[in-house]
Amino acid sequence: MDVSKVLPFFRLYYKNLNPEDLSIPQLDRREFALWDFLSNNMIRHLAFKNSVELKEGLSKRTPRHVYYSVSTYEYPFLPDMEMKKMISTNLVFDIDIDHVYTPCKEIHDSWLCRNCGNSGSGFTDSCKFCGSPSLDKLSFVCNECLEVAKSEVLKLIEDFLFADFGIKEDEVKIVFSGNRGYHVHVENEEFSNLDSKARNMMIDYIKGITARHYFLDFLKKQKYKFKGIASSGYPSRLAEKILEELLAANEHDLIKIGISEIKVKDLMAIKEKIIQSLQGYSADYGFLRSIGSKSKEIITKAISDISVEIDERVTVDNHRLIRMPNSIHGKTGLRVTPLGYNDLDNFDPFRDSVVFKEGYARIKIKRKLPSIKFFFGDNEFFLGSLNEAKVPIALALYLTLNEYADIYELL
Amino acid sequence: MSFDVYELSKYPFLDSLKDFLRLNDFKIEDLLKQPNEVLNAAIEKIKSLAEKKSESVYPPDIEIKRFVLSMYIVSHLGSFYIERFAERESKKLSKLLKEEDSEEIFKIARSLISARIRRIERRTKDPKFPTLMTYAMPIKDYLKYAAYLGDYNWSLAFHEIKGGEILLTSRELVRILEEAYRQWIIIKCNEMREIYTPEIDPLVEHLSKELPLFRTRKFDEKVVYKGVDPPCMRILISDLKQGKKLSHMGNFSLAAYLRAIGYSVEETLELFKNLPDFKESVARYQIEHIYGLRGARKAYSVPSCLTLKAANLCFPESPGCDNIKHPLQYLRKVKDGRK
Ligand code: SF4
Ligand SMILES: [Zn+2]
Ligand SMILES: [Zn+2]
Repeated sequence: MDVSKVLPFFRLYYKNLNPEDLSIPQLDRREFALWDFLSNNMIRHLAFKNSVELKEGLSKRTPRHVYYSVSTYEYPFLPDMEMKKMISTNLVFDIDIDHVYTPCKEIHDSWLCRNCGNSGSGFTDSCKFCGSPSLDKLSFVCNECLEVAKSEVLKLIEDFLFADFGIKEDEVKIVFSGNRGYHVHVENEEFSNLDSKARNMMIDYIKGITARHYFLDFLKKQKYKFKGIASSGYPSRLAEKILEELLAANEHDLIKIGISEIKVKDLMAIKEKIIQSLQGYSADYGFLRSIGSKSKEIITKAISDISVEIDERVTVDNHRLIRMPNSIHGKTGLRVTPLGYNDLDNFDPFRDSVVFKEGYARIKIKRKLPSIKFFFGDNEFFLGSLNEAKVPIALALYLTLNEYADIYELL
Repeated sequence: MSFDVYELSKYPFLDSLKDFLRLNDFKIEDLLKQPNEVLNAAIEKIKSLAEKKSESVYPPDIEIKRFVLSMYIVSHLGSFYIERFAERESKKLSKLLKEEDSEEIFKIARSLISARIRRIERRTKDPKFPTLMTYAMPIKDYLKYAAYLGDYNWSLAFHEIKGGEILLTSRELVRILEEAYRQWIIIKCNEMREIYTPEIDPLVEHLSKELPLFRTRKFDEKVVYKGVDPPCMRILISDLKQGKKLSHMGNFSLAAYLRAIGYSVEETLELFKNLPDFKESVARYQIEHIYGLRGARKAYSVPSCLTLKAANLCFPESPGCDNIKHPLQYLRKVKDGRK
């Protein structure tokens, strides 16, 4: 990448930045870290007194990426984590589409196994041939990907943060990360004081890890009695999903997934009763016993549907750095965009976080792009035919910073 | 001002403790200066920690003073005694609470955890128990304590949660109270540690000669994989070294892990001596079991990351924990990375 072609855009952005857009709670207590464009190094342990100083620092250094600490410290500028003296840690959730299955990945993602050399398309954590987790992945973030990410954010906020944890709307700040997903910051003192063990428990809950693996054991111990839809929180959502699955399935489907004909007949005979029971406050899950090993599948599916794929490391690690809102993501040229809960519905990341709107550039493609339609800025592009094309500057920067293309002429 | 001294002697963390101490002109320095009934009772209480003896019971007002004084002395004996003390007192609490009615449990929960805890009476269809008491606890308080219980039954998913509150049965509440009390004692002791009176020095010196010493150093010299233990194990080891209590799963996983990285039974046992509820014969038996020297004669393997996660013992770090399913993979990864 020819840094001289992209750096001026960043410089201009930080020069014109309004310090008011850098209103970070307890800014002077946080560590800042800047990724230097030229040396490709992270400069850490910076501290600023206020947003005006921060803005000056940014425009002087023109960083490629800007991060700040999720924790506040007594001495944020000291290089040693112990010496910094942590005060508290914000609760932050990270939803990254990299970790979430989306159907569109079949079209635009692929992987190559470093162990056996086989390759395939779509979303996977390990080689479909030899099971090895060491894969080289090629992935693209399309419009649909970020729609999926958005719906995960909504699930996290509405079901877990608002309904379960009782966190208020104005305590939640959503930030589009500028690339593959969203960060959700919770600004609530009680939750900032939770230690990592307590955070771990929240994460386990939101991701449904224990539920997925122990729900059946748990049911057995409770003699298959558990709360139903008329209760609240997780038990209620779970019962609702399971009911949904049951209602959607007819005799034929049940036989097809491997439940014996006799058992299906029995089940159908008591279907009304099951439905009624699931709808009540206490539900009888006894019917799961009769479908044996298939019950595991039904439950896993239901739990996956009500869980949210968050990256637990971001939430648990209290020395984490997180991207600063209103900085530029150095791999996309998009703005790290803060949003309120009510903005989320209408927010289109590839339209609303575009910063550089004036001008065009001619680009050369250097890495294969998927053959898909891509909405970016106010236009629609076909990614397969962009070589040597004249494109809006924002798209040129997006593809260049992402190492898909080179700008060879600014127009 | 009136309060129930008998109640306070059972539950010395109640808010009335302050008033009681003020009214009785309680001063730690005075009690430490020369032999007296309270001091003797406190020393007896502390010695019984090491000797597994049950302690004798005194009249309520002496009991209360004895409790506070022994907390003060224990806090100066160091974290190993603090942990043991907290462990025993909190066990006593849950035993007492099992005999109490919901009124008293509720009162204690509000005093020990939060005044925001609510009581909800529910009708049931069971004619024998027509009403059932449930308790609504702020979720952040629940997390603070349940996170240390390490059993999947405490997982949030298996409870009803709404608007920042979690619903608990009375049995669950009692278990949470036990943990809350344990943490309360530890916090109080750590505060008391900062309060210095010259009289404490000779007493601590005298006591530490009589009490068994809890070794802490030994382990550092034995680390084979220094600095590359997976974070889950690193945390267990450091908790243990500080004399903290581990969950069952924590004990089990760590012993299996130590076996895997080449610790002998003796070496593992040595480390486990730091446990506040350590009993050599029991621990040895369990460790030998895990090592496959007893019972089925099959050594237990280290649990997978998934199991550790479910027991709330996993604290992943990047990049070592990325894409791994088993803590031993972490060792391989980190070792490879260093070559
Ligand atoms: S990912 Fe595995 S190795 Fe890493 S902390 Fe969790 S349980 Fe331990
Ligand atoms: Zn392979
Ligand atoms: Zn996609």
